[in-house]
Amino acid sequence: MRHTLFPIVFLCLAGLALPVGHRGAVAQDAAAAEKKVSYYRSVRPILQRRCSGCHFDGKREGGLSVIAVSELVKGGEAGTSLAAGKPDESVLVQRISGEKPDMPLNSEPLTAEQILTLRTWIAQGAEDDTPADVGQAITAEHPPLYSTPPVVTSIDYSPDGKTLAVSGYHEVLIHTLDGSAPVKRLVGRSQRIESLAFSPNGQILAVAGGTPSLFGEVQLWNVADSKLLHSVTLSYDTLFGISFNGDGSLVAFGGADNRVRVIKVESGEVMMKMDAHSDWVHGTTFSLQNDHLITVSRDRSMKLTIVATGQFVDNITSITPGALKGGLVDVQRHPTREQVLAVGADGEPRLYKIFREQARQIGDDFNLVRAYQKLAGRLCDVDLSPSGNKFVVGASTAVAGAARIYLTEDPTKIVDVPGLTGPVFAVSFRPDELQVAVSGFDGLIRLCNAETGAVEQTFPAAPVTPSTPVAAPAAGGD
Amino acid sequence: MVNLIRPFWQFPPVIMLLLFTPSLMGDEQPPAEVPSRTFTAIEVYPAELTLSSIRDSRRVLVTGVTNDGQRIDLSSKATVTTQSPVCQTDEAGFVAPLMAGDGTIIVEAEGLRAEIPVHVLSADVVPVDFIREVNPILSKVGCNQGTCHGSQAGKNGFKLSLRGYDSVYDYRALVDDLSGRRFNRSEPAQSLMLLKPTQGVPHEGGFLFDEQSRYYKVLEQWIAEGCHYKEDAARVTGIEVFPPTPLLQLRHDRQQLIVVAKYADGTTRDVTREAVFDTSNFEVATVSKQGLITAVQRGEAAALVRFEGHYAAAPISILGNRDGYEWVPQSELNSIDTLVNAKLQRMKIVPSGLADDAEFLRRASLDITGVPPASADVLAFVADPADSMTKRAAKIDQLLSSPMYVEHWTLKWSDLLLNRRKAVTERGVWSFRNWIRQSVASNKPYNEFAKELLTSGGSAFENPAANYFRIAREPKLVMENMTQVFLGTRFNCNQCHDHPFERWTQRQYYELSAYFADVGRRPLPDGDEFIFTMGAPAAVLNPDTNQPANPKFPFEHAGAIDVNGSRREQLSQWLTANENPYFARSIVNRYWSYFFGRGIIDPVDDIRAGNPASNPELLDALTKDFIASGYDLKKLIRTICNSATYQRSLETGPWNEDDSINFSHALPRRLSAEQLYDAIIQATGAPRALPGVPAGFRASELPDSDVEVAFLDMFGRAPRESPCECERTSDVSLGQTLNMVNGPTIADAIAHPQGIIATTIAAGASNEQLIETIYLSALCRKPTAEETARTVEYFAGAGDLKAAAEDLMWALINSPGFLFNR
Repeated sequence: MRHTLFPIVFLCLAGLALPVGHRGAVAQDAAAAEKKVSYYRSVRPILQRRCSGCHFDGKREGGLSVIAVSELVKGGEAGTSLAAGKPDESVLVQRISGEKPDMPLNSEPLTAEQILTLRTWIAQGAEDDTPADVGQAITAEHPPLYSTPPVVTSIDYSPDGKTLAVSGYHEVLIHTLDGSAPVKRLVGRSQRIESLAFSPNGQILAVAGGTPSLFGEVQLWNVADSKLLHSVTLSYDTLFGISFNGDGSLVAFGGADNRVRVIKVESGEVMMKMDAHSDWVHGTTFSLQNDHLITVSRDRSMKLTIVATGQFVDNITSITPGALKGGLVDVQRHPTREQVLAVGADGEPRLYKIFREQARQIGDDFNLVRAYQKLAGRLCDVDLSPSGNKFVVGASTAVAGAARIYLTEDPTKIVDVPGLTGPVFAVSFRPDELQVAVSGFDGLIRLCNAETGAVEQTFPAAPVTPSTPVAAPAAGGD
Repeated sequence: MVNLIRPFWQFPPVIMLLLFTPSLMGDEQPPAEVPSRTFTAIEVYPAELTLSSIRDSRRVLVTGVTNDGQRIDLSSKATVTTQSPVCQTDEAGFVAPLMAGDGTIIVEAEGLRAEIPVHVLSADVVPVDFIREVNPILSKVGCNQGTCHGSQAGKNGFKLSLRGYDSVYDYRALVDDLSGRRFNRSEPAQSLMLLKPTQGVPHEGGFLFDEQSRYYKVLEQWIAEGCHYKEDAARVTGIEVFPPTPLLQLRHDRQQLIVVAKYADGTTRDVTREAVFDTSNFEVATVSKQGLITAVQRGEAAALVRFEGHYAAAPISILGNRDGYEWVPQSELNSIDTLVNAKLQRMKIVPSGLADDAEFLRRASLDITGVPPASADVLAFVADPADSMTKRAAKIDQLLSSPMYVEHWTLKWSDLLLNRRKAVTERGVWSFRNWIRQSVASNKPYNEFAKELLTSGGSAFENPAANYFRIAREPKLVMENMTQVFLGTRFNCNQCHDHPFERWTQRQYYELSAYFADVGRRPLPDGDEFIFTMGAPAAVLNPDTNQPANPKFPFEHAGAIDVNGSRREQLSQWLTANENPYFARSIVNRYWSYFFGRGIIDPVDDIRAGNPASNPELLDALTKDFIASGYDLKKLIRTICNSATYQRSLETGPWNEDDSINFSHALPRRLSAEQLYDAIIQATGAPRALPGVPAGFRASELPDSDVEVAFLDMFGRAPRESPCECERTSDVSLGQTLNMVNGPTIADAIAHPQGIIATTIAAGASNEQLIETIYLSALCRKPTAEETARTVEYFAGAGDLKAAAEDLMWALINSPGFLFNR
């Protein structure tokens, strides 16, 4: 075996021979030439399955993403990956071919059949036949169907207190408070709605979301006519924790790229970025003067940033004492003071001064005003009443949940919402401070008396249509 | 970075050539050695199938019996079919329910046919259970392994518990994290937890299964049903592997394994597709992800199987070509020999014959008393006309009652219990040593010994066992020492993470440590300390939760524990109970290793499922005997030493030369530092004069390693900082060699004016007598006629008789016959 290979070795050294297997590949290319290879149906799945783990927009090993034909044309550090019509000159083919192909790194080589598919597609011109409406199977005309209510991640009362915006899959549902049926369905591209907020005047609904591992999106809706004013695609994973500034001209949000961004509502243009967080950013809120932004993250820190410049000022908390993994999840500014309420994985709501009045010491917690009674599990959402006198939080232990109303100035007073069975991911205070809305894992909206906690109304977050059960898995077939 | 990755034809010439060496050519397979076989029958397992629910599908094993009686796995070649409406079969040989009722499946292989009755109890649709069905898949495909989402920080913001030991945690991660980011009830196929493993979205962990796979369908159904969690779902209580001891004949032979999990509700389930497989030695046998063993070469390995925190090991034997092998009937002196010989026959090994009387005497003396026999004893024993086995048995008893037995085993236990003056002062060392010494001398039952130690208290000088709690001063350390010595297991790994190869978890580490949290220590005058039980135990904080751990045993057994006792009383009852599967077993195994140079489980203080016994029946029998004897260590030694297995020769033959784990011949063991020193003094007859102790003290009688003797340190005496047997080294270093050849310890001893050579010459011995004296003294045997003749010749040619005799002594001390116990 070794002897028969020596001539090839020498030819290779002399730079004369082509890669092993090349001759065979050419013959196969010719044989398969008549059959048109579809990028979308045949090539894309191979690249996605075998290459995209390292070569996607969020990682770009070697500078390359294989997520779209345009990206392949652009290529990576080694230049364009495709030479249309010339498989052998395409870096993509070179890297996956040969006895010991370079790629996929530390993994099984592609099969001969997969390589042939890629070669043939390139030989035929490397055309992009991705349908224009891909990913648009769900539209306003074809809204999502729910066999069970969706998990609710965010809810917000409109400033007039008459409607409630509720997150669904691929859409925001606007409910009246009688629970009859959604009056509006704002269907968009993003599979997940992570956060939503009405503008101070109630005319615009801002939505942060995206599709995990693919893209993040901010949607700005004109509520009156259900028109999408702006869809801003950012990052390669979902966005979180959207908030308006005082005059409704800006929205701030965080992301899975550890970045904080502020965009102008008017234009959708990004006017500020901040990269001081070291993990996903889950919550944002503007200071009372609107000149600073306060952000919380899974990195367990709460950071203060100047809005105009994006300059990071300070950690409001140092590493939050006692905070567990999972970090901080939500933050909201007090309506009348330069103070913020922060909630997170340790289950204890805390009120902080935004601006430091004492010199920093390592590990200090000088800005803490007050800590409130702890709940089991982690806190997922917080909402202050418009006067700032009360606030509501939602909590989850994964198998159980809780919603609790606190008096901001009297930590001894609490009211619990009774009869909750599942995790609570979303809470909102009605502007008249008489009612709170609570929802989460079970997808049911509960409207509760803000004095007693009693549930006054329960309805599903989205209309439910019964569906056929998924067939039982058959034996075998691993 | 990028430059490193380039087409292979651009590599420089040296690398090019390497690429074409056969060992690196992945797909080049040597020709199969499996010969054609003639089968006379097939056997199926299980003989009858009961399928209790819709996803209870089970695999069938098919074994062919050849005309010469070999049993060969035909599972992958067999076809499994059915005409029955109650079940269906697939290519992998799994049988799955279709409807309730009875039916039959047909197995065909090598032209032979078998039928298996099938009973389907129910085929109703039942919801997918997270604990029973979902979490095992995450383990199987590797989501929760240590290099992926099971790592300390998880991966890309998604963290699972390591190998799924914490199902609530994993459920939270999948369902509760980020408000349900990872599933989509409305469109299950759009769930991140399905898109990631199928690479529907970029996943750095790669492609793990496709949309048609069973794994996918189970997860999809669970999501569609609403991602429920049933806390009270029945947990796994154990796993069984079939066949339990796979025996493969030749290279490339294969054997499929089946893994069945037992649940607390009494049900069983075939989890072959969910269990995780590995091999303990891939040079002997590989085990595929699907549980298929492939023989690589003759030898023994273990198939390691893991499922839901339970571990099992199936010992694999690969016979290889043993054409011409024939068992030679052996005389069996006790049950050890029966069990060892059974294993030897299974592996087609013929053991060595017995060592001669002189060899036996030296070996037994060193093993039982730590010192070689005196010349006079050798002569008397060899000359004794009694039957060899009778006099050997008597000699064993005599050695066991000798004072040196006490010194030798006191030293061993002083090592294991880490007795050292740095921790307990010089007075403490002596008092603790005396307590150990008295325990050995009175042959204190081992369970009593452990119990006294662990429940000790009061002034450590007056109640010397209490020094145990001065040597390790915090609960975690006491617990680590205790588990390694008394359970033979290593708990120190799981201080920071769950044990990588065992079921022990980080949580158990702290819970077990908490049993020592109420040990109080108050200083007394003169360096003494008062050990007491505190009313308020100190907190043993688990760093993962920051909560103080409550005392809890890492496993339960049926032994009685007085729950009103103090923490240490409860612990000592739990530890020393007959029902504790580790306590007696670990000491029996440890003692065995002192006589054979290797444990039945080895290393002896790393007992775990992934490190199976080479002869479990032998270890079980010895353990049972030991418990029945009332934990009598002397009796254990007596039983071991009276076996033919212990008395076998070092010489090997063609049918056991490659064996090192089945005790078919003696293994040479280098003398320990103290044994070596004492043996040199004894061989040369030089007076014993160690620093810091009265004249006449042997090295083995030193209280601790703080008595400075450079020779002992060089030869690896235990510094007593860790209870690991590995602390005492038997490495051979250049320094040791130079010391043996040129060092002052040897040279001074040989030339000592009161030494054997000087006194024998002064007594006017003949050259022959002098040579015999030196041989007896150094090697504990008479020289052979040839050795005498050659040495006489050498002496004659040498000018100075004393110098020539010293040369002989020096040469013998530097020979393997002296340096090794063999």
